[in-house]
Amino acid sequence: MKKNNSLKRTLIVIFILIIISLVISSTFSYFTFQNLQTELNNTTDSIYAIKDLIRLNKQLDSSLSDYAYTKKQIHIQYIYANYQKLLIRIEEFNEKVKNKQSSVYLDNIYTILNNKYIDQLELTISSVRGVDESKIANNYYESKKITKYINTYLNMLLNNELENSRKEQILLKEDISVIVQRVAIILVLNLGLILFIGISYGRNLILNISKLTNVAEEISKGNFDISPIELKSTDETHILAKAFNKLINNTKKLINKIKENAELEVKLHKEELEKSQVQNLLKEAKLKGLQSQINPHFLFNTLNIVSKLAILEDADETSELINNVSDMFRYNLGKLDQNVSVKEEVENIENYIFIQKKRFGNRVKFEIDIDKNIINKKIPFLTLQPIVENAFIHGISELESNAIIKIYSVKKNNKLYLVVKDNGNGMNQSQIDSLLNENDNDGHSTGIGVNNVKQRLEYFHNKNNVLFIESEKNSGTKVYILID
Amino acid sequence: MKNKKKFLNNNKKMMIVISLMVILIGYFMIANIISLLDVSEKKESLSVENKVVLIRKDNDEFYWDNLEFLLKKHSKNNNFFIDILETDTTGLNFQKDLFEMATLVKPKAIILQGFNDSDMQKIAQNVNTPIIFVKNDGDNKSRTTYIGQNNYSVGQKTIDKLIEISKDSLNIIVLTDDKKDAYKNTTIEGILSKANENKNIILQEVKKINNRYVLEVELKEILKDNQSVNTIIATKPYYGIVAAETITRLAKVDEIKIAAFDQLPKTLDYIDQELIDLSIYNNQEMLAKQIIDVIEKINKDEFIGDVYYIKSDIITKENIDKLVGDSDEKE
Repeated sequence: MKKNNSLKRTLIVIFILIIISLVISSTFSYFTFQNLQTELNNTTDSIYAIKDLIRLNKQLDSSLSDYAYTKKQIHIQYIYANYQKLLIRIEEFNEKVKNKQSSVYLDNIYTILNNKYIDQLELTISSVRGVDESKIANNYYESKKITKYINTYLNMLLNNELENSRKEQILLKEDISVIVQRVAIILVLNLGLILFIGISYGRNLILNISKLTNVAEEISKGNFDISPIELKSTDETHILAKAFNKLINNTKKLINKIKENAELEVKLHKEELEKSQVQNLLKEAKLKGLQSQINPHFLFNTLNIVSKLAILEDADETSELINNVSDMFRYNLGKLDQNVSVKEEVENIENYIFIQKKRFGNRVKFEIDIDKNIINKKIPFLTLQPIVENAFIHGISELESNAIIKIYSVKKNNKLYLVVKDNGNGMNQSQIDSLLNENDNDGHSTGIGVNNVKQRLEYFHNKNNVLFIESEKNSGTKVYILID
Repeated sequence: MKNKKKFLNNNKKMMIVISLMVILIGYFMIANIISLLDVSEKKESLSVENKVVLIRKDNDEFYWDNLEFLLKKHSKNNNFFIDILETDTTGLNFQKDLFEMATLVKPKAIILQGFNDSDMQKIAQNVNTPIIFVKNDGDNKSRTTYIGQNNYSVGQKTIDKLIEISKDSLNIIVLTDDKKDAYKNTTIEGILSKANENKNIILQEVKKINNRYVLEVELKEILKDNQSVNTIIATKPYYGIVAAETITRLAKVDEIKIAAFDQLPKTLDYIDQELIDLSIYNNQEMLAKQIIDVIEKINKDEFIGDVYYIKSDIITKENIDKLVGDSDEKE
């Protein structure tokens, strides 16, 4: 799993860094000042050490003096004890001395003690033992003189150390001043560093959160048209930003989908509406059919009896006419809501034409010329009959003779049409429009007008321009019906 | 990896600032540590194997300060430590005590003015420490060597110069502080030798005056008693200055010539003002170098001579700038 620079981790790191930084600078400052204090103490310690040496030298002189006057052996022990102590202290002090002049003074004292003084001490002690008063006095005086020289060197050492101590303290004060300044700078820098890290990181965090908040507000207002959030961080805010961006994208997609669905629904609804209209048309056609069919069985039986009677009365032509009428009615009543083949429609038309021929006689001539290849193509029920009937009603009805109604198939613009052509009066454009768009079914035996046929054809083909009329006044009319 | 790179790129400025601050903190910490180490380790080399004692005399601070400074300066290369003894810092009043104290610490050598003191002679005879006289050649049995000007010759040269600048005969009084035997002072011997061979030179008196603070009073007395005195030879430091101030007060500047024996700034100033006619120029730089050279020979157990004379010149108004102003070139 890829690790991000999580807020938690970063904050812990920053926190630890701050603690480490503070601990280091505090420890450093503590040891710095402790060291300086030690140095300051050292300068005064040496003074006390020399004072101690002077005291010991005096004690040595006193013990010698006591011995010279009292001649008691016990003082010899004190003399040597003080002498040894003085030597040891000088050696100890020499280890701590930093200044060459002081070291020379100590060396001088040590040399005198170890050479002339110890010799003179031996002489003085032996002269005291020998009880020669003049020798005692001389030797004691000589010892005392050397002690005085030692004391002189000790005082010079003290003065030198005091002078050095003064100089060291002046230097140390300068050093302390610089060191304290540096410590202050370190602390200030440290504080600056902490503030800088805090502010820089906090600023980034606040900026990131602010961006996220703004985007969240926009989203809550329903505005998804916002540019993706781009954060420079790699922490949780980055993850949040990514999540926000994803959320926005997904929501946008969802909205689009909903929009598409809504559009589709509207379309479907429209289609449903159209379908419903077609259904209404069918129902209307059916109703019209029913109106003309008043008890069809009775009508068919009656027509059958009439036909038989006509045969009995040798009226064969009448019988044939009645049979055709009966067939046509039967056709009209049976298949109103179904699609039928061109062949069936044409057969129905032949029945209709037969009837119309009886009516119009030789005034009208019918021609049917349809390609065999299309006779099985499906078309809506009662497509041709209203068109042909319309040719009778509006086309040739007023012609005294030579009226022709021709039904044929034709290919036009790669589309296959059935054409009902008459040579009647023809129509102007307003008449054509009226015929196609108005529900005019006056005079139609089925009660179904051209408009009804057109609408059903459109529904059947699921497109427009499936029926159109070419006509001019006094030049006849061609009605094109799309087959395929 | 990509995230890390991005993070680093995004925070480049921040990282640079943080790095700079950390470097600064580190710099100041290291600087402090170095300072602390310096404070703790301000320890000189404490080897005291080549210790040399210089016993200063308290009557010519300018001379001894200068010599001390020059000896310390030149001894650095030879690793000698010049340990100074003087009455002011020791609290001891006598040169003898200083000298005895110096012998007890077994130095490589003891440098001092020179003496004819019998106690000091006794001490000197009982120690093996080489003893270097630098101002007065003194008793040659007491010293190992003498390094300094040829005092006898200086005395003679002084007279010669006074004769040269004086149109009249010289009626001289000599001022000294030598408490023992003034006539054994080699400078005075040199003066005397010239006085004896020239009848135009009359040595009225060799006046021993213990300190310069009573000199003016005594000098006035002498000049009152000896109206013919036209030359004062002040063989001790400051004596020439006091003499010049005295004759100025007596309005005898044009009548009395003064020869001084020091290079004190005031003396040089008085020469410039023509209150003092001449003084002896003693090249202390050369003196210090020669002393160190001799101690180096002593340290190496090499042969050293009885006397090392350092060239001296007589400073007058005419040559004061050349001699004093350009002493290095003179060397």
